[in-house]
Parts: sequence; C-alpha cells; structure tokens
Amino acid sequence: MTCRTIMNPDPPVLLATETVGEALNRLLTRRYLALPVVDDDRRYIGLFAKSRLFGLMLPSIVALEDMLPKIAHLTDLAYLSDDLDDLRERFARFRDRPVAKYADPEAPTLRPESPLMEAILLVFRTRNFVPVVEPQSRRLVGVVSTWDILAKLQPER
Amino acid sequence: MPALPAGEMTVLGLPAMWVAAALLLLTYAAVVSEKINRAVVAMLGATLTIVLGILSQEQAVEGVDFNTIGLLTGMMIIVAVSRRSGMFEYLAIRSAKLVKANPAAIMAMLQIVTAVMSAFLDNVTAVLLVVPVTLLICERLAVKPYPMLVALVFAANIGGTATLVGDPPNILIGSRVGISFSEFIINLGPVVVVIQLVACLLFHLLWGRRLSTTMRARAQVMAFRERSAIVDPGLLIQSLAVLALVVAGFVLAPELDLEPATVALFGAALLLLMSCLRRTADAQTRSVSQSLEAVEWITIFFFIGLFIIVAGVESTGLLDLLAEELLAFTEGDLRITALAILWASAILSMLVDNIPFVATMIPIIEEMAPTFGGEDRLMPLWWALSLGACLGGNGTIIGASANLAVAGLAERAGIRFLFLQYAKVAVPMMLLTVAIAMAYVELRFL
Repeated sequence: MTCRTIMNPDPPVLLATETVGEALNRLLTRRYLALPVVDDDRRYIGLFAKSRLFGLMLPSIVALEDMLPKIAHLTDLAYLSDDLDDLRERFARFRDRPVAKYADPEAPTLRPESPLMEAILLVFRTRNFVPVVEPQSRRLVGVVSTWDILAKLQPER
Repeated sequence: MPALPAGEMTVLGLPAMWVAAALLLLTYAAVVSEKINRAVVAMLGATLTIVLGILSQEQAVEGVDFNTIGLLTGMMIIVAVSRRSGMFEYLAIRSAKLVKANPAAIMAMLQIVTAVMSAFLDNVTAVLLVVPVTLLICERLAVKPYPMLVALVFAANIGGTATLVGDPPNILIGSRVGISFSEFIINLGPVVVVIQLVACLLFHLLWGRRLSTTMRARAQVMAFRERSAIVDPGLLIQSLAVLALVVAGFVLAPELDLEPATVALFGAALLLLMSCLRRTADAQTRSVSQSLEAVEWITIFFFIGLFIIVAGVESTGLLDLLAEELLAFTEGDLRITALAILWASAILSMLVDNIPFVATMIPIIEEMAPTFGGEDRLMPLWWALSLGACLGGNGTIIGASANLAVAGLAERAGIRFLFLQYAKVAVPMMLLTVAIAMAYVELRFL
C-alpha cells in the first residue's frame, strides 16, 4: 500500500500570493495546524504552520534556533515584558506580506509512491499532516494526516 | 619505530619528510577550502600518517597533547552546564541597561563583556553566548547589528589573547611549553587591555557614534527584567562557585603540581555532579547527556588529528630544517626572530586557521633553544607567537573560528557578512593591534 491509496487528494491549500493575515484567518477559522503553500500551477512551495506564526511573534534569533548550535540558544525570554499590544504591533509588520515567504520548504514531504509505513512514521514524527508531492513536477497531489490513516483502520464496509 | 635517522626515512619510496609535509599542506589546504569538515580532514590526515608508516600508532597517541584536549573538553562542559542558569544573558542585558540602552555605549560595553568572557572561555563559546542577546537588543533598538558583530569578533579574539585558556593558540603554547595561567595574564594581560581599549575607541569612531535609535526603543530595552534571565538561581550559584574554583585552580596549578586539563575536568565533573544530586537515574542520564552533547566534538577531533599530523612531520626532521632556515633568515638574532614570528604569525593567521599554524610553529621554535642559549631565552618568541596568531585572526572572516562562527550566525539571521567588506575594516585594525603588540614585545621582552 502506498501514500496514493491513503492520502486526501484534495486538501485545502494556501496560494503563494495570499498574505500572512489571510493565512492566519484560514488557520483560525478551520483550526488547522498547518497548510501547504502552492503556486498558481499547484507546485508545492512549503508548509505554513501555526508554529511559524508564533515564530514571528518572537525575537528573530529564536526563529533561527534550529540552525544554531545549542550554546547559541537563548535560555529563556522571561526578561522581556512584551504585552499583547506589542505582539499585535509586531504581527502588523508581517500581516500584508505574502505567505510564501514564510512557508517552510524543508518540512518533510512524501511521494505518491512512498510506502504506507514511511507515511505513518512521518505523520507520527511531525504530529501533523505530511504533504504528498510529485518528485518530478513538484506538484502537490495530496496530504496524509493522522485522520486519513486512522480512518483506513476502520473495517471496510 | 623507524630504524633509520629521521631525515633518511622513506615512505612508498619517497623521502618521509616530503610525504609528511605533503600531508600537512593538504590538510591546511582542505581546512582553508572548507569543502570538507575540518575534523574529517584532520582525522584522515592523522590516520594516513599511521597507515603510511610515518608514525606507529603508539607514536601517534604520544603525539596527542591530552592536556589541551582535556582543558578544551572540561571548559566546554562547564559552559554547557552553567549557561542553563541564564547567567550570560543576565550579564549582557545588565551591561546594556547600565549604559541606559545607548547604542554606542552598548557596543563598547558588549565588547568589554565579550573580551572578559573570552579570556576565561574559548573565543567561539564567548561570542556564541553574547551574539544572540546582542541581536535581540539590536532588534529592539532597530539598529544595524553588523557593526556590533564585527566589534564582538575583535573583542573575542583580543580578550582571548590574555590568558592560557582564552584562545586555542595559547592553550597549545601553554600546554606544550608549560607556561602557566598567571604567566600568560602577567605577560600578555597589560597589552591586551590597551589593545581592547584602542579597539573600542576605533569602533566608536568608525560606527558607534553614528548608531542612533528612538527613546521609545531605548525604553523597551530598559524594560528588560535582567533578574528574570536567571532561570535557575541554584545552578547560578553552583556555576559561579565552580568557575571561581577553576580560575583559582588555573592560577595555583603550578604550586599544586596540576595541569590545567585536570583543573578544568575536575570543575566539569564537580558541576555535573551537582546537577545530578537529588535526581532520578533517568533524569541524571538526560542531564549529563545534554551537557556532553554540547562538547564541540568537531574541535576536539580536529585537535587530535592535527597533533598526530604535526607529530608525523616533526618525526621526519622537517621542522628542524625549517627552524634552521628561519634562524638563517633572522641571522640568529632574538629580536629579529621575535618580530618576524609576530608579523608572520599575524599575516598567516589572517589567511589560514591559526590552530594548525601554531601547532606547526611550536616545535620549530623549540628547535631554536640551543641557538638562543636555552629554553628560558625563548619566552619572547612564545609571546610573539601568541600575540601574532591570536590578533592576526581578526584580519579576515576565515582568520579565526570565532569570526566564522559569528559570520555563519549572522548570515542565517539575514545579516550580510562579506569577505571584502569585513577585510576593508578588519585588516587595517588588525595591523594596528599587531603594531601595538610589536611595540610591547620590544619594550617588555627584548
């Protein structure tokens, strides 16, 4: 069994030209954890996750931590006294920027031919859904989520 | 063990001297090119030294200076544990608030903090601890971080020059020659203070005085609650106690007949022990693993490999020849030799990693002892080598590990750190600092 069998072939997506503000609305209204970002030809650009929005609220050095040695990580931010107004002001700087700029192109993806167990492992590790991308065309052909896999465990009727 | 005199050994039908030299040069080239990780390059060079029969495995192990390795590892563990207390962020924020969040004054303060930290920790560690908070402060002040980062690079390399543990070249020299922590501070401390103050002044004139921000932005930084940066007060007390004990140990090491590596590793073990107390076995394993993971194994393996490669070259007699050539060039004059070493070290350290350079220079200088009337007469040469290698590293982005670490971090943060742009400011400033060092060496040691 492959990803093609279990994936959702028509997932909700964000267009590259949509703004961060519009993306936030989509995430908030449907309670999505993340959405894949695609261009007009449905070519996959990256994953825009709720956590990325949080990253925009934090000092930019924190958003880079994954790429830095541990010794360069800030221990805590308890010494900052920012309030909600400060966060709103900071978010306002990003609100009108295109969401493509903040999509993570390094987030793990699957191929339509990826085996079922590879998909389960990635979904387990990301605790989210995983985009399924055609390797040649880089087109998004679906997503595999915990719900898709769990639904397949139900006895077939 | 080679049966023939060093100069007559052959490897694959070629003189061993040239094979070993080729290995060393290839290692240099590979490290400079940065195409392959430097630890891998050094490990490959070291194992080839053994495979080709230049050294036996026993000789290779004897060539490794475990005092340097132990000192580096011990200090890395101490920093890994103590940073979790939040003490380094506290220091940086407190410094910024002490000068009322004035950007120019922050630049000067953070240089002093970095220089002092760098004197007791290795340079890369010092900058990696200060740069993140500096970027955060710059972001809040809406000032360009590039000038601050360049100033911090200089401060790390200058401050590290003052002590035995501050910069890898000093660790190498101190360990091999047996120069104590106190001797380093007494002999190099004064000139390092002068050079750092000159650097602060120059950076102020060049960039600092033009850094401006709004009162609102300054108020944001002044609103930082630095006390909240201390996330683990218990660990802070333990860390400060161990750091004080380790520094005291470094100072008293000669009287106690201890090597700096023993002092650093004892301090590290003590701090790890305290972090294990009253914890379950699982929690202890997690905490110790976390601390040991923070050891920069790339640096450690780079040093081990390099020691073996240089020991291989040394065993063939090539370094004796180079020492003779250098003495012929300087006509056996101590003053000319010291100044030649100072300037050659500075210029070469600007272009190549100063660690392999110093590792190669140490046995060359040792060979000069008979010419100058004994090992004690070599002291001006060791100070010249230390000052040249440490200060020269400031000249280019690739000159020292701290520069590369900050440049890499800056690039990831979207701050352009271009080779020529950096060199345009750094080369003249580096030359000035070495000129100050030259005057000092002449007046104090020659």
